Amino acid sequence: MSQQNRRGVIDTLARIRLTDSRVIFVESVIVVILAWTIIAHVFNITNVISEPTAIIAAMYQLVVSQEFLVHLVPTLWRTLLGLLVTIVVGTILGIGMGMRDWIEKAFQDYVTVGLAMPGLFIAIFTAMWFGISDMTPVVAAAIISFPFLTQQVYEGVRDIDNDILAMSSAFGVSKWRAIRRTVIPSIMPEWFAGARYSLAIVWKTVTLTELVAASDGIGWIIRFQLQSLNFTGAMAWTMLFVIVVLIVEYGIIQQLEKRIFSWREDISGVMAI
Amino acid sequence: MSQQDRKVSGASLGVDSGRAGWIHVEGLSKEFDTQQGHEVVFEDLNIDIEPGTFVTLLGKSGSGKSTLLNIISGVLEPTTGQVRFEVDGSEEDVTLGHVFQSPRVLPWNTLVQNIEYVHENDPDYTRDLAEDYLDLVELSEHYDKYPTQISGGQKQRVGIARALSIDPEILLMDEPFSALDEITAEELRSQLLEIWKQLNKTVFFVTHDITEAIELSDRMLMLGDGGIYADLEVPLDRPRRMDSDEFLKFRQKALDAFHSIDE
Repeated sequence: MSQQNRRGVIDTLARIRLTDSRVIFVESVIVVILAWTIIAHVFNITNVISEPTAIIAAMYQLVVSQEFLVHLVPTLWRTLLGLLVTIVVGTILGIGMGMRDWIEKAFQDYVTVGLAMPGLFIAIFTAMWFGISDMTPVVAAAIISFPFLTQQVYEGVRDIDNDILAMSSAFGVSKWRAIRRTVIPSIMPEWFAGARYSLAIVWKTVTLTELVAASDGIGWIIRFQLQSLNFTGAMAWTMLFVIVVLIVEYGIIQQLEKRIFSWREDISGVMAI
Repeated sequence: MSQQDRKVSGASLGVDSGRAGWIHVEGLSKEFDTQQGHEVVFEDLNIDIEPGTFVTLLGKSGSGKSTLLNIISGVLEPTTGQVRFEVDGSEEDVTLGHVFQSPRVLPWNTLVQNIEYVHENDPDYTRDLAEDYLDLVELSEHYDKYPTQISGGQKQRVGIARALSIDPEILLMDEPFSALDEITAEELRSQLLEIWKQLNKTVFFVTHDITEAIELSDRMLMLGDGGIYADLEVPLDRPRRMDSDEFLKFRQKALDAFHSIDE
């Protein structure tokens, strides 16, 4: 290979390293793992923070033995139920508040309190009400997260372009068609952002509540590992849970987002990002 | 098929190019109660607009142009008086098409879907119909694009195609080119005149631009001082040349009439 070609290859690889987000992510993971290993050995605390290789081996074992599924499935199920309740309540209430003054006046203070209330309080109250059952994490997650979706949807309804509604009226479009074809698509960006944020809260609340009021699930098994002083096991479960969350984010949420918002201008080109 | 091949005439659209409507404005008044007190926008307006004519409405800001258009289009109720429409001697089933100052297209729908949106329960609607009207406004290459993928001028053409697609007898246009740059606006004016010639609709066009009004219309109504201040027939042959002596003389006459409002 000539010197010029070699230089070109090197420049291309350097550009990819600095600009391709997937490459940067992989590099950052490698750096973290290396730093972690070095710290564990230099300070001789491998029994406290475990070596990455031990954690990866434990993760592999959990997946291959399918023990991971035993606790993942209940957590996923509770997360899904909690999210469904959040979406139904948050969407209906948000639209109602945005379209009717009396609903807004009746519920705004509750939404404000819901936004500010520490999630831990709700988790404790629901544990007291429902004990060790599926209801505790589901209800806790729904109560904590629906105010966020409600507020987003309410803001979306208030920001609807009245000119488009006036155009619909001028052309004699029926109310239901206008709601279906203009109001709902119009609030979709706010709804989607609210639903996405609510999902993050639901994930956290479900696993947190499983710590104290469940007999299975990711939260429960992590607490069990910690009580057994098995830091490697706790980290393995945590890392596997993080991978599932990322799979949901990149494999489902972002694909849905691309589909639903395919009409939106790609602003990365516009802003030269 | 090239864009030239797809240029569509009114006949090929299957549109009855003879159906244009009368607009009768009778004793129309509009008053508002505002924080500053009672305001009379205009009173006792009487206007008859013949079928197939292109009429512009001019006036200074605040003269009530948009208010009058909104009453004609049915969005606002008059204080007194009425507006009647008539087609072939009948007042039933007169369709109004609206073109707004901003295009008001649905950004989450393609151009074809934007046309389809206003054809609720229309048994005659087909995708071909939407495509034909998009061809008429020279958007043949863009049927399945989204509004974010086209320019402001092209969006306004979608607005025009949408209004025409419901086969209105009367087209109401509220300063449709005022937000565009002059080059794009001039292109759209030429296109509008072509389409009007082909389809022979009654057009009621609100503008604040005297030159635009002279270029486009058969008749100019000037609103001011609470009523129709001037009603000018435009005596110029089409196509109109804006640099011709006749055009410039008439423009001066119109300007003099415009400036004499409120004197």
